[in-house]
Amino acid sequence: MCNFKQIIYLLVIILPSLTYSNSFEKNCLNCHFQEAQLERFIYKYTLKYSSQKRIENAIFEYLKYPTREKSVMPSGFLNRFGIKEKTILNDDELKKSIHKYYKRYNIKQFIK
Amino acid sequence: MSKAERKSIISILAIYLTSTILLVATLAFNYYHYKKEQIQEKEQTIMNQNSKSVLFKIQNLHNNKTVDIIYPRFKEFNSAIFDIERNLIFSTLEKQDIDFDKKFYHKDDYIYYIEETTPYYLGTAYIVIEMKNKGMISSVSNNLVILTLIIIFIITITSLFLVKLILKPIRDNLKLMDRFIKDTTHELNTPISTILTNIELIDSTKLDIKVEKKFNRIKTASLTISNIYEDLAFLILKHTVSSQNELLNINNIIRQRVEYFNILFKSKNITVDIDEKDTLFLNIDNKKVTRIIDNLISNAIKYTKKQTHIQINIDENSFQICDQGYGMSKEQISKVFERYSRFDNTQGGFGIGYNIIYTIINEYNLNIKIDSKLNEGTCVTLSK
Repeated sequence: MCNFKQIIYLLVIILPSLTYSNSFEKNCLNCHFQEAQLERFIYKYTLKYSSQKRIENAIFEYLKYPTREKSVMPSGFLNRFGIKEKTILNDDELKKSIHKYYKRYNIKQFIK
Repeated sequence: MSKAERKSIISILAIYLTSTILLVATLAFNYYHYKKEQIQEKEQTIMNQNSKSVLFKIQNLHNNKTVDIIYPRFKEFNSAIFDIERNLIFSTLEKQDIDFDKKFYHKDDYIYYIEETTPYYLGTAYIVIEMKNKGMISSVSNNLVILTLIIIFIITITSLFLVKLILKPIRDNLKLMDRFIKDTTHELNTPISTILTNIELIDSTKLDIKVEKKFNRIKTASLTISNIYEDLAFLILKHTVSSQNELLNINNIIRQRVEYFNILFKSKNITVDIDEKDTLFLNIDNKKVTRIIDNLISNAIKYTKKQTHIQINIDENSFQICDQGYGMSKEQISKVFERYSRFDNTQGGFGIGYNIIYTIINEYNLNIKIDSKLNEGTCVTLSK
């Protein structure tokens, strides 16, 4: 009985994070499977927005309502690939996916 | 050096030195600030160059993406980078507590410089440079304090010399006067003794009325001269003769001295009343207490109108001599103890009486109080 309770607790704690992790991988990595590409985005966002909060907000704003003005990519890139389509994710799922992306790729963690 | 001379020197020095010190301090203060600004400007320029070096390095790190980003380190200074929300990105600083409200500041042993940058390479919005404070400002202030002290010391010595130079003619005059009094006193000794002895020998009862009047005038004049002589002799001998202190009945001495001055009282038709509430004893030199009493009585006679009254009150702690004379103003009272100070040139004397009193009461720690009103009179109280 005791073991069963512990498993339930563990599932309650781990499942949401697994879900968010899966959400990022399912929703983002499906298309952006090249790591270099994701790194390039974060370098661009860091150069323009500096802090984690501002970067995450900027990505959220762009994915929610994508425009050329909000994009950090150069015009040549946008001419070739165009701007992204509006996200279909809900706000909460989108924010968590962005957070996951930032945590994984932010430059600051690599400074030594 | 006399008390008045010392007072003059102190007053002149105080005015001269205060103004000079103020001037020197103002110059030193301005120079310090000028130097401080110059040093800070230099430090800021160096630190600005350092921040540019950090910026150049992080710009390269941002543009040349590698797996590990090795933050630039410099021997001459420490640095840190912060994002736009002032969150630390990376730091090699000794002290992490940064005041972002100031662009440049000193704290503990370090100098800090904050440079804002855009775009945000590696997310950097602020570059903080930390350098060891070489103490250039404190070295300037220390040197300045030493220099100021030396200048003030030299000025003090110079001004002391100048003040003495200025006061030299006055001092010479005083010396001349002292010497003159000394010489005069020596010369007066024999003739005064002769006059007084011979006056005592003359039997006034055998004289006819006209001659007696003239004789009394001579007696009065010789008493006055004798009193002046005693004062002068005291001034000359006060440093050479030691005090013979004994417990004296002051009531008796006052009575004797009033008797002694009797002829002077009569010459101005002054009545004297001694009210002895109690007996006053003082452990004092007889000659000195006599000088005090004689001077107080002779002043009361000298500065009192004819046909007035002198009241002497004695109790166990004090005696008081009150006249109905011309009185003194507050300003005159404040100067009364200065040697050679005289307020009425029509009266004889050298203006040394109160100075002698002051010298003696200081020696015996006695108190003197002068209550005086112009044209009403003066009351001098001497108490234990």
